[in-house]
Amino acid sequence: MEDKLRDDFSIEWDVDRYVSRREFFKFLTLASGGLVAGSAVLAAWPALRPKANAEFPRTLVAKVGDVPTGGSAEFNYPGQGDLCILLHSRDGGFDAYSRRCTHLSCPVQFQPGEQRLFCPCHNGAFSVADGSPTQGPPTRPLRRVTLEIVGKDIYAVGVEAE
Amino acid sequence: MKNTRRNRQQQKSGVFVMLLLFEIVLVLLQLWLFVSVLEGTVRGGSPIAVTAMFVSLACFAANTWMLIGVRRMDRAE
Repeated sequence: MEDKLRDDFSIEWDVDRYVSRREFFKFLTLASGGLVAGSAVLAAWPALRPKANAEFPRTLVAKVGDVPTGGSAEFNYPGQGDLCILLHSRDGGFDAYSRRCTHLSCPVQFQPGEQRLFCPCHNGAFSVADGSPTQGPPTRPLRRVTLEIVGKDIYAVGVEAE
Repeated sequence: MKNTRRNRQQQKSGVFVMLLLFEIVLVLLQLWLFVSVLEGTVRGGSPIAVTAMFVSLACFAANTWMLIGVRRMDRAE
């Protein structure tokens, strides 16, 4: 017991840090097992994740007159932590997108002068027309929020799957 | 007699190094598969996830088999 204790907690610095080839072999096998576990989680991920067609609430996000043509308004949907942006395009239509950048989830900002949604974290940019990436590291489009306009009320009714 | 024993030890050492290198290659292969599937999953789903898991499992089985072999070799000394 005492010998084992000395081996594990040696006062000799060199001995303490020494890793034998056999210990390294064991460590690699352990790492290999960990990678199998990780791969199993990834394989099961589609079954584990919540379904994309989950029901979304119908939420009033703005009135038509509240957002000037070419302007924007921010709202949270479907949860309070889900930042979204409503855009009133120059041709009169409304579009809404999640503000979460598809690169590393920084909130994007609307730049009306350049007609784009800009992510300041890594200089990524998205088109206001369809949310597709136009610049920087993002490769996937922003998630579009489905809108429903009833009279002068604009409702968010869903979020498109990625 | 001494020479025979030394030769045998050298042979064992060579075998051990070969096994270790092969194990490193297998672990790197597993790591590469894992990262590929992870990237695919982040992009919306990877079609090779299940296949990659079975390949990774096969690599782990080979690694475990080699570890058992090495321990047996040590005990035999």
